[in-house]
This record gives sequence, C-alpha cells and structure tokens, in this order.
Amino acid sequence: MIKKNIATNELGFVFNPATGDSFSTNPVAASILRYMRENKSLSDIKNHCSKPTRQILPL
Amino acid sequence: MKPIVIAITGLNAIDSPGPGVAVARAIRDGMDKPVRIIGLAYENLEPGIYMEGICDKTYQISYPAAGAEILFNHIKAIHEKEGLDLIIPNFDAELPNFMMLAKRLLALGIRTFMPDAAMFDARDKQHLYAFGKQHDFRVPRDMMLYQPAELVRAGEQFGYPLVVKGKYYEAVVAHTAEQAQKAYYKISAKWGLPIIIQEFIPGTEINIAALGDGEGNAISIIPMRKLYITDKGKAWAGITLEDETLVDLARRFIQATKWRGGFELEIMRNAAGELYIMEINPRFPAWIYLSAGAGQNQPATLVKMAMGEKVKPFTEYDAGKLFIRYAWDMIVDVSRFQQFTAYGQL
Repeated sequence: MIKKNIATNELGFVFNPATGDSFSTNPVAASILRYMRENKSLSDIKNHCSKPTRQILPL
Repeated sequence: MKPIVIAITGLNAIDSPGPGVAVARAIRDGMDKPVRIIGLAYENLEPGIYMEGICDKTYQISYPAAGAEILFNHIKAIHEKEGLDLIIPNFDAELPNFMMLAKRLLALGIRTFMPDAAMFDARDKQHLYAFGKQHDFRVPRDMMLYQPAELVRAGEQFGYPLVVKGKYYEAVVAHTAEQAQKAYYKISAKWGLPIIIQEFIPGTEINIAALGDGEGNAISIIPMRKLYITDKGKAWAGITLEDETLVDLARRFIQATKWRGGFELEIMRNAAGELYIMEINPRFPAWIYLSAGAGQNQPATLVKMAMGEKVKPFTEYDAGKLFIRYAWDMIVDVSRFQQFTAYGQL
C-alpha cells in the first residue's frame, strides 16, 4: 500500500511530501510503484517483475 | 486611489539575509490595492535599497542600540514626508524598540502588527526551555553563560557536540571544548552576553513560517524542510511539506501565546519523529516568499489584517513547492550610492 500523498511520475521520480525526500528509482522499482498504485495484487506484481527487464518497460 | 504606504526593514539580502526583500516582493504580489513600499535601511550597501521593484524609496535609520527615542524621531520625520500607514519590522533586535513605540506610532496613524512584549519575551532564547515546559513543547535543555569558565559545566552536563548560540543571532555546533570556547568568544564579541548553550539534537531541520491574528487563531502555517544549508546554517533551498504534526505544533504555539503577526519556528525532527523547537524567531523568515509560492501569502495577509480587514484562516497550501535562492550581481551607478550615503535616502 502506498500512502496517497506519495507522488510518483512515469520517469520513476518519487517524492514524499511529508518529509521532503525525493528519490529516482530504476525501471523495475518504478513499475512496482505503478502497480501498487493501481492496487495490483502482490502475486501479479511478482509475476510481472519476474519478466526480463525489457518486457517490464516501458511504463 | 491612495496607495497603502508600508515601511519595511531587513533589506540586507546577503548570505545571511534579512527578510525585507522577500516581504516586499510578497506584498507586491499579493495585494489587490496599490502599495508604496518605503525601505528602512541601517547600512548603505543593503541590496534591497538598490533592487528594482522592491522599495519605492528608502531611508537610512539608526541602529537599534541608539534607542527608541531616536528611532521615533526618524520614523516621525519619514512619516511627515511619506504618510506611513504601516511598519513591518523584520529584525529580532529592532523589535523591542518598535514594540515600545507601538502606541506612539499608532497615535501618528502608523499601524503595526507585532507580538506584545510578553509574547516576545516568552519565546526569547533565554526563556525558551521554561516556555516549552510550561506549554508542553519539546525544547532542548539549555544553559545561560556569562563566563567562559562555565563552559566546563555545560560540557559536563550536555556532553559534546553542543550548540553555542548568540543572544540574537548565530549558532555554532561545537564538537570539542576548544571549539566551544572559540565560538563563545566570537559570538559574545558580536552579540554580547549571555551566551546560550543548547543541547545538540541530531535530526532533520524543518522551519515553519506562520501568522497569528493575536487572538489565538492561526491564519497561515507553512512548513518547509531545508534542502541546502549554508555554512551559516541558513536555508539556501527548501521545500514545503505536507505534515499535519508540524501544522499542529505551530497551531498549538499560536493558541498558547495568542501570537500576533508573523513568526518562524525552527524545528529539529529526530530519528524517532519527535519535534523539538530549537528557536522561535519573532518575525517572518527570509524564505517567506515561499509562503506566497505555496498559496498562502503571509506578508500580504499581514498587511490586510493590520489595515483592519477580516481575514479567514487559510486551509490549503501546495506541498512540494521549492525555493532556490541565488546570488546575482547588480550594477549600480556610484551616484545612487552617493545619494544614499550622503543624504540617507534614495
């Protein structure tokens, strides 16, 4: 579950407005975050992320 | 339509900046009525005197150490020329004089919107720990020093590192007794005694700019995390935060003090998430223009309140708004410098 106020974008930039921290994520992490935001199940996310990286892209 | 004539101080937009330039900029952005801004400067090289679009006219005034009477005479003379409606003092050290003169200024028709002496004293660095105890705020332990020999006792009580602070400005984190002694002499030579020794709290530095209406209501609260800190400990970049615990803290402070006007809470959030009030500045901070950028223009709102307008408390602001300060070299003809130096006005 991702807090509602956590901001992410398609480039994998993550911003936590509660702390002011920001992060750049790699494509896999960006995909995980996107699926979490879409409320995908853990097994769906695992299945998807076990594919070769090329198939995970693009978001 | 006659403009509202507002005098402001703190035009020293230098590496450890006064808030005046940001206050003027925010007022110009946020007012729907015409304003005329009169700068009050102490030094003839304060950048705000010469910057375009900040002050319509600037006058030199004497340092706070000259006393309230001399300040009053200066303000009265400026008022006779300019017809001041409001003064917004932006320095800690000048506030006692302005507070002392508030009624006499009002009798001339010049408004202020400041804390009273009791509010001002309660949050003073020298009383902050007691204030925290009284109102249930976390404040680091501290000790007032009048003799350098007392540093030994402070070191034993707090351990190292500890923070050596001046009465009005400056703070140094000292990691050894030698560093503490050096800071003691340096800061006391500049700002006098006492020196305040404060327990060091490791964590994330957060500042909160807020505006109280003097009746216990918070009109605006903007929390900001410092992203880039200069060697003087000033925020050179920062970002607005969305955190209800920070907003609650500022709201509780305003309720406890019935604060009137702008102020800044300097907060340290430790690893456990506990919020310590490190210092309370009784005026707007230099980064106050971020309040306008985030949707709660505090200086313009203060002007409206001072001029008698009923203002509703803000309820929303944009989290994730950054300010990034920058250095910029102005080119100023020597004639303007001469004008200000020789005649005390520009």
